[in-house]
Amino acid sequence: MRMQWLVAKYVRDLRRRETQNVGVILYTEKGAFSRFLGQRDAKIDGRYTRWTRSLDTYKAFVDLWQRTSTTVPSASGLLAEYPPRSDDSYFLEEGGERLVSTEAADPESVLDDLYALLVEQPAPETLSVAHLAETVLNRLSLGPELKRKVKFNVAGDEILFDYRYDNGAPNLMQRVSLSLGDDRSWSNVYAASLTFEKAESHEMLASLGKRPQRIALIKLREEDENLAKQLKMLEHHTDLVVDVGVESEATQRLSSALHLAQPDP
Amino acid sequence: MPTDSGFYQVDTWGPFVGEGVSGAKYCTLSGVAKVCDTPGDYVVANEFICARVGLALGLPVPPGVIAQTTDGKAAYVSLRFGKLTERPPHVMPADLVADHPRVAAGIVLFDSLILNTDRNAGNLAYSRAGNLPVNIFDHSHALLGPAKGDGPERVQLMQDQPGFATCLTKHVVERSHFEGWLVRIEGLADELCHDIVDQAHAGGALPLADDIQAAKALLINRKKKLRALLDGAIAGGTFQGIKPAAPKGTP
Repeated sequence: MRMQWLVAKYVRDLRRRETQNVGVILYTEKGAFSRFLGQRDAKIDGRYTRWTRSLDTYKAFVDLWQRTSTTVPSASGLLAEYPPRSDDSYFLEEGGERLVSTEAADPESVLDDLYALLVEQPAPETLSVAHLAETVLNRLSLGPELKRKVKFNVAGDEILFDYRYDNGAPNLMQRVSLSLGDDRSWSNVYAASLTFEKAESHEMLASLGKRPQRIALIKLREEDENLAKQLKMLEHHTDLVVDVGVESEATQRLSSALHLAQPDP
Repeated sequence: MPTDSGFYQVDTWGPFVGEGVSGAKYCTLSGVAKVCDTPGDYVVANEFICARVGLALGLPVPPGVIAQTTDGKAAYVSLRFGKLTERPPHVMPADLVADHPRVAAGIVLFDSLILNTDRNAGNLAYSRAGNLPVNIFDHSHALLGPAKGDGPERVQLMQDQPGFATCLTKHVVERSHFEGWLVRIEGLADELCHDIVDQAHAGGALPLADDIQAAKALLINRKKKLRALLDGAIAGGTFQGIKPAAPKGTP
């Protein structure tokens, strides 16, 4: 899969022309993903953007780029739509391109890495569910028994789980991103529910030997009218839903579910 | 709801003027200047006349004046807008029309009046998320056009053209939003149009009599024709969001 990114830059003083990276827009075959400084649950939080001269102008640029990136199909297209103007305090610049295997291509993880590399070491609340899930699983020290990106063939369909860990019985875990308050979270919930449902099929149970424990790893966003419904649907199709956004609690809950000795606090 | 408050910001405050009782103070504001590089360039005249007409109609055009450079050239200097003088991003036309449908209709009519064929997302300002108010700017290629000496011919060729092809046009959905603006435009006094063009001449931005005459004729003729041009454009489907009225006598 080909991934391209743009870097959003800020020039506080147009005479000095010193730039600061303030965001990343990542284009993948799965769509555009972006993250900007001070963004919490898709909103700009003024408490974390004291470096701006005008918070309103920053919000206006971020809104324009994020909304347009969902309709303009490529990084070069977005750059052509909004080429840098000599007196712009905010502008986009070509970042780079990466070719990754389809299996390794989790856009949110790549975005996390790029954001940490180019913009800032992110606070936990800005990290993707992929990043947070890895942190929690690393704390559990599951060793080589933890398998990543596990595929199964069920009635001609290939289904993929993010993690498998066997400890007496198989545990199948799927990361489900609920970070966006739009249709994309619903798509993630539907896709995960279908995958978990298939894990109950006879063919799958035969391949595993035992009924698997099905675990959804999520990161909660700020509550809205859809979040409760999405959680309910996930709970219906799984044995356990764990919020990896709260690291210590998630570690405890997963540890119990996987029948492990309690990890160090 | 965005307001104009804070859109122009004082750079430096000076001492009190010291006369009268209103507490007036000296101050400086940033500006953006366009200069007539060679005599007869239309850029300054176009900017000045269009801005004055726009302001007279009540549209959000940054105020400006004709100034002289140190080497005696005419320049048009408009106030630099933007929160803390940071330039706003490109506009999302659909947002502007949805949030300010009446202002959008006024901009579309104004562009037709001044023969501005280049209204795009880069010469409009507005942001819903950033709470940035509407501003319209960059009219240097309108009116007499970009090519020095071709003004009278351009006016002759284009004065009956509809000129409604802007980035806002397809988003406008209500014919009624034009009505108030049509009244304002039709109400522009011929004398005012003459005065504005004469001020550009007096500022050194429009030296030639043919150009002066063409600019005056354009404004005076088009303000009278605009209603008919608009109705024709609506009937012809230029405004995709407005349903053309049924012909008279249709049940």
